[in-house]
Amino acid sequence: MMGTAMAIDEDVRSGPRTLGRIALLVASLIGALCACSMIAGIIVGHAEKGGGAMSTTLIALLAGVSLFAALCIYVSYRGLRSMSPLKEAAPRDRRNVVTLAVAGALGGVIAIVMLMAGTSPSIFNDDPIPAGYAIALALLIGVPAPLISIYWHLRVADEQEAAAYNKGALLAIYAYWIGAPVWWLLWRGGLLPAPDGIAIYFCTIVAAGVVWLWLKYR
Amino acid sequence: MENRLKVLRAERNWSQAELAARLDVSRQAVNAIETGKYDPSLPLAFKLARLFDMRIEEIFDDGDGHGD
Repeated sequence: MMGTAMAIDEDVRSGPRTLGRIALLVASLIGALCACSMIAGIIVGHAEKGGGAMSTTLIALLAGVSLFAALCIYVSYRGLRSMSPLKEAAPRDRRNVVTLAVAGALGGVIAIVMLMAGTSPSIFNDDPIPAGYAIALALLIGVPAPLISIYWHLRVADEQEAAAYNKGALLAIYAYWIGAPVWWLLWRGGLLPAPDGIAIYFCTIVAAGVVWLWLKYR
Repeated sequence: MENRLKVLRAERNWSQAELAARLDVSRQAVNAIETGKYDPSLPLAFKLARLFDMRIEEIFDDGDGHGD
């Protein structure tokens, strides 16, 4: 009897708490959306004004809004997690979220450094950049990215995901081995423009990514 | 390969996420095994067998007619 009363008390107390959690979740999702829209607006607005190196004020604003977006996304994740039957994430899921957050933050830093260098953060943009920025960007990608990737493969991806990765990587290498000479021959025949290294690089990423996504989430 | 994972999980009232946490794999991995889209490695199959306190061939059936 006493247990039933306590359970009812708990239900009564948890009602407003659940409503609060839902309100916080909705607010954080809206905050994340607004922040992402603002980031896109700042970048597009800057490009429409002729691009070039961004001012320190604009970069600081971009960094601040990015941090706010990251905070909103984290609050959303915690909100969703608190409503799931498993209150705490499994160790592998936790490592997954941490790795994604670190990779996302690294991507954000790279994008900001590219904007500081006066170029748009797109792999299809090959405008010249100052040598110092080129070295900084090469180090930002060349040092942490392999470490994050190794950690991901050793500690985050489970065997099903590893199998999906392997098949995606296999298809990507075949896309490269076969696609590159086919393009090269068609160029020599005057049928296509000269092979573009960035386009080939992009195609291998898309091939690997599509196969990985399909095999992991189908 | 066919398996009884979904039934065994339902008998214990576990969600895919709960089973995934017990096996230290992703929920997608559990789903892929249940639907026969992915065959687990031998270590994972043993882990499953120990978790359900059964033999591997009582959970998985390779279609050879020897599965229980």
